[in-house]
Amino acid sequence: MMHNSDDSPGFEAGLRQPLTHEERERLRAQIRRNPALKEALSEDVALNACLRQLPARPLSSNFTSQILCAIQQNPQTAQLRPRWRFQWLDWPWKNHGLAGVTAAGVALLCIGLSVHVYQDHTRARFARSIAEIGRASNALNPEVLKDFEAIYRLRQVPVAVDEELLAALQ
Amino acid sequence: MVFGKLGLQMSAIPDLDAEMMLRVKTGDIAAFETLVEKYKQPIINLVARTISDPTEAEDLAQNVFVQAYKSAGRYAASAKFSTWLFTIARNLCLNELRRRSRHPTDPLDTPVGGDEDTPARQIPDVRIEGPAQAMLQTELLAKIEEALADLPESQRTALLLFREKDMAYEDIAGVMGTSLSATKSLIHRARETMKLRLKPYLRSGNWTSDLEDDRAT
Repeated sequence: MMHNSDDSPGFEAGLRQPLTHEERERLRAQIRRNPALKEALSEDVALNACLRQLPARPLSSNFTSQILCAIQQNPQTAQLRPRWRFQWLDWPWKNHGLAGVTAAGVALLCIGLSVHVYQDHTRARFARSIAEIGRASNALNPEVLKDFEAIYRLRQVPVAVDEELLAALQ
Repeated sequence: MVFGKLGLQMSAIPDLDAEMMLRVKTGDIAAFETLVEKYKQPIINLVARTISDPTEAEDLAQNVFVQAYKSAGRYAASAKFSTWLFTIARNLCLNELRRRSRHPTDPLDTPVGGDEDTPARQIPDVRIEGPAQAMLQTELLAKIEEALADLPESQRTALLLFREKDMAYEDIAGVMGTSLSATKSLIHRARETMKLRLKPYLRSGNWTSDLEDDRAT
């Protein structure tokens, strides 16, 4: 990729990977044609070997995750987060009003649930009341209510008039 | 052509990383994570050797990617993604170097053995062939790091980018903000300086035997 005719033949030889057999043969052929090149070529090859063997610098095992955390925590990079959820909506206020709409929706939901629970409670109490009345009415013998003679006789019981109380009241 | 619909003139070889960065523009975090995984080592290699501070290097390298993400909205794929990313890295390194030159601080690390010529950071080498060879290798790598650190920033950056397999001369020129000929000159001068500094070590290594003619033995 980087070959340039102005460079010496050994300029890149063995820099990124060890010399291949073909590269070695090519360099040897050049030395045979021009022995004066041997020293320069040898130094180039040797330097490239040195550079190739430079050790990799140490990296933390969580290097990548630290970068991803930094991106997520940074508000400037938050804008690049996917907005696929809202792409089908074209609301102009979606970036700022959506939070308010969501909060209002949640509030309405809570109110609706509260009303529903209250109505349920009220109905249940009403039903209990009806049940109690029913129990009370069941305690009377229906036959008693049909005995009109007894009820009539209650009306016949003389009631003494309290003359003294009447005089006092007047 | 990969980006024909955008009306951009691109090389015939599609830049898959640029395509991925365009997906990052639309909020694709997974694509960004893939790019981070691919470039984190080359970026920290460049940053660490530019600012010569291993503790700050990782923070700065992370900042490179955060800045890249912040700039995703303006990314237009007019250049290779690697060129764009390394440009961000170099700019942040230069900012850091300028900040340090305005507010110099004494290094906390004292050289090993109190000798200024001995680097404070010893770089272990896992390719141990024998104790003596390992020692020579360690010493050589330390000398290489020293020689690199002593290069002017522009030469050092150009040389480090020259190591990267996907960086053509044009890409390096794009990162450096210089012409093609100026970039080649930077790389050439850096190499000559390094060869001079490392001459004793280059002659003692076994790589010269690679060029020995088998017929001569």
